[in-house]
Amino acid sequence: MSDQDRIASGIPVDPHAGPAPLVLAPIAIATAWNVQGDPTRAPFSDEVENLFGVRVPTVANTTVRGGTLLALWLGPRSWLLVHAAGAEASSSLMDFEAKRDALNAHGGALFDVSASRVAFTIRGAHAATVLAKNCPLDFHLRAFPVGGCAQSLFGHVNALFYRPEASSFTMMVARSFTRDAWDTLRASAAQYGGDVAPPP
Amino acid sequence: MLLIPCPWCGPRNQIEFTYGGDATVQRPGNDAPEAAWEAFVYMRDNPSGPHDELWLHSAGCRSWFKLRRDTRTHDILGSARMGDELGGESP
Amino acid sequence: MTQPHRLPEGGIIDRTRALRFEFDGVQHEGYAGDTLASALLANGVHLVGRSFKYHRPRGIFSAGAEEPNALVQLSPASGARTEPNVKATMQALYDGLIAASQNCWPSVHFDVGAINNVMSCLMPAGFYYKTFMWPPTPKWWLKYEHVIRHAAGMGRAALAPDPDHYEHQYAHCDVLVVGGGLTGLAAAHTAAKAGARVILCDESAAWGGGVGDIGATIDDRPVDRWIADTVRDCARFDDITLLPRTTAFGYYDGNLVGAIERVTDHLSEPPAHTPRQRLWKIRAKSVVLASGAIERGIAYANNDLPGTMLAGAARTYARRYGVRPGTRAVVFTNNDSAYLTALDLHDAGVAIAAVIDARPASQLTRGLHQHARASGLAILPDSAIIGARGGRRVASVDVATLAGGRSTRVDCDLVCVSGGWNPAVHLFSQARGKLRYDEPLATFVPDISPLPILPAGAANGCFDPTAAVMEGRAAGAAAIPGAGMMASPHHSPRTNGVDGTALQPLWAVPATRRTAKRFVDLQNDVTVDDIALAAREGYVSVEHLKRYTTLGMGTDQGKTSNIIGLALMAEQLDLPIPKVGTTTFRPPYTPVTLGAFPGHETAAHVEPTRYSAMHDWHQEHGARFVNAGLWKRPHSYPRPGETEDDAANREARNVRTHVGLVDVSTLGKIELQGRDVAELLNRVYINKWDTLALGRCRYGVMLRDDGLVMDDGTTSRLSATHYLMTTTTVNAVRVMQQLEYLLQAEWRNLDVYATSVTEQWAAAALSGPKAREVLAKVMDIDVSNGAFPFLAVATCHVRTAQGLVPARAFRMSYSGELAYEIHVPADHGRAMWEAIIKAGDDAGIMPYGTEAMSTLRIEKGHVVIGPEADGRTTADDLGMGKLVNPAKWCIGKPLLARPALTAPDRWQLVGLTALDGARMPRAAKIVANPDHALPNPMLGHVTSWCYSPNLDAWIALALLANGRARHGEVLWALSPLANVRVRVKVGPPCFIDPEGARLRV
Repeated sequence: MSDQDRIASGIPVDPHAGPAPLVLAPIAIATAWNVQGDPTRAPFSDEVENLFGVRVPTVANTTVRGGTLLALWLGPRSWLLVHAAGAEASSSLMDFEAKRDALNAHGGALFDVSASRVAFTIRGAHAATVLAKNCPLDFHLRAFPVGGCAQSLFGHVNALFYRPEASSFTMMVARSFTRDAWDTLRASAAQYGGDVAPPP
Repeated sequence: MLLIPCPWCGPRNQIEFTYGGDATVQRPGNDAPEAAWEAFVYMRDNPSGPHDELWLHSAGCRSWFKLRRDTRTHDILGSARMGDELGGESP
Repeated sequence: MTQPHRLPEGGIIDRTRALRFEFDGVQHEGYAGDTLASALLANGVHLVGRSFKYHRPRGIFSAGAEEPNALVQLSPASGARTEPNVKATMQALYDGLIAASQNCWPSVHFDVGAINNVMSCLMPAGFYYKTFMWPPTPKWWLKYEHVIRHAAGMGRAALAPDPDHYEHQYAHCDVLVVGGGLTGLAAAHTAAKAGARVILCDESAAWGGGVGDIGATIDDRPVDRWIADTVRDCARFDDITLLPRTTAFGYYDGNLVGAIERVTDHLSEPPAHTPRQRLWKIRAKSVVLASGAIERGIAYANNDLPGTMLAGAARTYARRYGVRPGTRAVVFTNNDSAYLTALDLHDAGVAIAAVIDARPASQLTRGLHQHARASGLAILPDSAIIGARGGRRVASVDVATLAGGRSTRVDCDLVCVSGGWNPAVHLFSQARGKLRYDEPLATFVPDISPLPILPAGAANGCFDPTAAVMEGRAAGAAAIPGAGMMASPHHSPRTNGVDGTALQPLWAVPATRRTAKRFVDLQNDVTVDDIALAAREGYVSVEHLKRYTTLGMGTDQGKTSNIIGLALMAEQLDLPIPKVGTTTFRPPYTPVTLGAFPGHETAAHVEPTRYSAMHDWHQEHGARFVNAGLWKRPHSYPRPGETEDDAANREARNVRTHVGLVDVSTLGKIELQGRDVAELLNRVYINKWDTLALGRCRYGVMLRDDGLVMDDGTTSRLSATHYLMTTTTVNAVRVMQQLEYLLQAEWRNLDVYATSVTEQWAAAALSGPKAREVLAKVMDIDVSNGAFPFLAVATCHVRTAQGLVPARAFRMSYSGELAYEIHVPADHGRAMWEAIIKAGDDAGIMPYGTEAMSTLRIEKGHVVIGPEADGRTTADDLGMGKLVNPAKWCIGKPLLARPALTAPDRWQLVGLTALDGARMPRAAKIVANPDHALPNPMLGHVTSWCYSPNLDAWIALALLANGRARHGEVLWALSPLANVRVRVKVGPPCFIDPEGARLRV
C-alpha cells in the first residue's frame, strides 16, 4: 500500500457533521520543481518567466498562479513551482534538463523535487483550528490571507502551508514524515469529524 | 518560547529556528595566521546584555540572519538580513 | 441525600439537575453548578482531609484555586484515571463523581498518623535536615528515607499509563484578558468592540468572577444582569474567543501565555475523541491581567480546625452556591470586607455569634458597621480570637482584647477569617513586573513592568466594583494595538481601593500557650513558631525561609500564606515588609496535569518516525528494524529459525560470494548547481574537486573549523554545473545548514545554489561479485566495466513493473565488492527495489540490513562518523591524511598543523583481531598489561566490532596511541564492566582486499 493509498483509506469525513464538515484528503502532486536565483537580477527573472510563463513572487509568503502552475515563495531566492496532477491543461514543467541548463546559464538553478513532498487538503470550518493545534503560525485571515503560503512546523515535522480559500488549506510535508503528519492530523481532527481515534 | 522576527517572514515562534552562534566573530581570511583562526574557533565573549547572534529560519525560509538578544531578559532588540547591519530597535 | 445545609433559594446552581456523588464511601447529592466543595458543605461535610505533617483534621478553607486543605483523591478506585491532590474547591461536580480524603489511614476520622501531632514538639522546622543527617553516611539516609517516604506524601499517583488524551492549541490575539470577573469582562468587551482580536479566559466555569461584587450595581444594572449582558455582547464579536474553565498559568518570553483548558473534567461521560484538557499557547500582543485577589487569614491557636474558612469563601458558598457553611458563625477580621460575609450569612439564616474586629471601636463607625449593628450583629472591637477549640470541627473560640486580659468563650461551628486581600500578581511578576508594598492594603500590588501587561481591578488592588469596571475598560482600551500603552515601561494606576475604613494589619495573634499551634501555611503545617525558629537559626532570606520551613511550597504555593510568613519574618527582623521581599512567583499558577505538556507527542509520537519508500517491502519480508536517527532501517531479514545475528552473518557472507541489496535512502543528499560548485567543494572538502569530470564521482572528507573530521560522503557531477553531494544519515541536516550558512553569509559571491533532495530519491546499493549481471538486467545503459568503470555516474532508467523509471546510477562501493548505487524518485522506490530483487533471483540476491552493512565496512576498515570519527579525530588519525590536498585551502586546514593534532602519540585507526578464539568485547579499552595496578594506562579503545563471517574471526576497529607503528603487536582488550579480557593482535584496519582489486573488476 502506498502512502497515498493509506491516507485515502482513512479520511475521517463525517457526513453528519453539518454544512461544513472537516475534510482531510491527499492531493496528488504531478510535478514540483524548486527554482532558485536572485530575483533582483533581470537575466534570471526574465528567464524564469520565459521558461514557465510566470514571474515568481518576490513578496515573502505569497504565491503567484499561472494557468495550472502555482509558484510558492519558499525563501528570498527560492520558489516551489507546483503542477497538480489531473489538471487538464498541459504543464510548463517538462524538459527538466533543458530548463535546468537554461537557468544555470542565467545565474539560477532548477531542482526536481516532485517526489519530495506529500500534500493534503484540510477543508472546512475547523480547518484553521485543526492546523493550529500543531502549528504555531497565525492562521487568522488578516495574518494569513487567501493565496498566502508559509513554512513552519506541524507537530515535529517541517510543513509548507498554502491557503487556496478562506476555509481551505494545502499542507505539504516531506515524504518520509507522511505517516507521522497524517496521524497527528487525524488525532487533531477527531473531535470534529467521524471515527478517527486518538493516537495510541 | 521566544518570538523571533525573521527579517523575511516576520515574527515567528522560536521552534521554527536554529541557533547558529555568535554573530560578532569575524571569520578570518583564508591566509590568516593560525592565531587568528584559533581566536575565531575558540574565543567567545559571554556578554551580559545585548548580544548579536546568528539564527537560521530552519523550518521557514531557510535564511540565516542576525538577531540582537538581551541575554539577561530575552528581549529581542532587532534582526537584520545577512549583509545588513543590526539597528538599535526592532525592524 | 437531602442536602440539609442547602439554602432554599439563590446561587448559580441548577436545582433541577441533582447529581449523585460519593465521598469517603458515603453517597451524597449535589446540583449542577456545584463544586465538590460546595456540594460537600451542602451535605454538612467539613472534615475532608488530614494535614501533611501533623495529620491534623482539616476542612474546606477557601472557595477557589488557593485551597490549601481540601485536596482529595479523585476516582480512587479507577486505576489509571485516579488523580491525587484535586482541589475540591475547583472540581466541578458531575454525576457519579467519586472522591476520597487523602493523607490519612485508616480513615479521615481516625488517623494513626495523628501521633505526629502529639509528638510535634520533637518535629520543628528543619526536623528532617537536623535528624537524619547523622551518622553522615548515605547508607543511613537511605534507611530513613524509606520510612519517611512511606509516611509523607499527599495523594496516590496513578501507576498505570494515563488513558486520556490531551492536545495543544496555538492561538494569537491582540489582547488576552486573564480573568473573567467584572474587570476582565469590561476589558474584553472594550477591546473587542474596538476591533481587536481578543481572548478572554477564566479558571471557573461561570463568568463574573469573585464574590466581592455581589449586590453591586454597574451601569445602573444589578451586577448579575450586567454580567449576563456583557458576556452576551462579547460573544457577538467575530474576533473574540471565550475560554471558561481555562487557567492562564504562566507568562513566558515573547508575550506567550500558557493556559490550561479543562475540557471534559466536569463531565461524567466525556464525548469520544474530545481531549480531556487542552494546553493553550497564546501569543498575545498585550495582556490585561484581571486575575482578582486572594484573601488571607490570620494566625491564631488552632486556626486550622475544620469549620474555619476565609470570610470571602463563606460568602461565596452562601451567595453563589446557596449553601449554609455553618449554623453559628464567628467572623474575625481586620478589614471591612468580612462585614459583607457577616451580613450575607445573617441573611442566609446563619446565627452570627460575634464579629470580632481587630480595629478600635472609634474606627468602626461607617455605613457597613452601622448596617451590621442595625442587623443585630454583635461587634467586638479591638479584639481577636486567641484560640479555637474543637475536635474534628470547631466548637468554640476564645476571644480577648488585643491589649490582653481575660478571654471569653464563644460557641460556634464556623469561623470566617479575613486578614486582608492579596492581588493575584503571579503573572505580572512572571512578566518581570515589579511589585510595590501598599501600606493601606498591607500587601504587594503591581507597580511597573517593561512588558505589555496591564493589571486591572482587584489584581491591581482596586476592590470597588464600579472602579474596577472603569479600570477594566481603561485597560482594554489601552491594550488595543496602536493605543501606545506599550511604548515604554508603564506604571499601573495607583488605586488603593479601600473604600471605607482602612485595614489594620494583623498577621498573628499572640500565643497564650506555648504548645498551641498558630498556622501560617495550612498545606505544609508551617506555624508562627516555625518562622520564629527560622529567624533565630539565621534562615532570614525569604528564599531560605521558604526552603527551611517549606512555607509556600506544595500544590497551593502559599497563595493564602506567603504574605503572612513574610510579614512575620519582617517582625522577627524588625524590618519593614518591603525589605524582606517576596519569593519568586514561578509558573505554573496552579498545578497542570503532566499529560497536557506532551499533548499528542506521546508513545510513538514522542518524536517523528521517518520511513523510506521501500519500508513496506522490508516489513513484508521479515525485516527487523533499527532506529537510525529518526529513520527506521532494516537491521536484518531473519528467516524462520534464524536469530538476527545469524541473518546478518548470512547476508554479509552473501554479499562477498554472490550479491546483496541494501536500502540506503536515508543518506543525506544535497544537489548543488551553479558556475562555482567546484570551488565550493574545494573549500569544504579536504581533497581536490576542480578536476572532477562530468559523469564521475569522488569520495570526500569535510572538516570542522577546528580541523577535526565532521563528515564524509561522495559528490557526483551530473552536468557541467549540476552536482549531487551525499552525506551521512546523521549529518544530513548539519551539512546542509553549514553550506547554506557559507553561501548566505561568508561566500556570497559564489554562484552556487543548494537544495536537499534526501526525500526526493529512494536509493539502493547493489553489492557483490554478481552485482553487474543483476544490474545489466534492469538498466537501460551499458554497465560493462569499460563503459561504466569504477566511480562512474550515469543518468539512466530502470526497467520496473511500472515501466521505465528515471534513475541515477553510481559505481561506488562501501562493502568493498563490485557495487552500484541506484537512485530513483521516491515514488518509484519500491518498484525499483522489486525489479532488482527479481532480476537478482538467479544470482542468489539477498536483501541485507544495516548489521551486515556494518560488518562489511568493518572488514574493509571504512570509518563511520560517530564511532571512529568521534569529534576528536583528524583525517590523519583515520588514515586519510594523504587526502588533504597541500595545494589548496579548505575549512579546518588552518588549524591542522597545531602540535596536538600532529603529535606522534595520537590515537590512530587500526584493526584488531581477537586471539585464542575469543569474542571481541564491546566497548573495550586497550591496554598493554591487563594485570597492571589500577588505573591501568589506556592505550586506546575499540570503536566498532563484529564477528566477521568472511574471516571466521572476531575483529574490531580501534583508535590506538601511535597505532600505525604497532601493527603486529599483541595487546589486551579489556572490558571491566563485563569482566572480560581478550588478547588482540594489532594490524591495518582493512582486513579484506586491501588493494581494492574487487572494486575494479
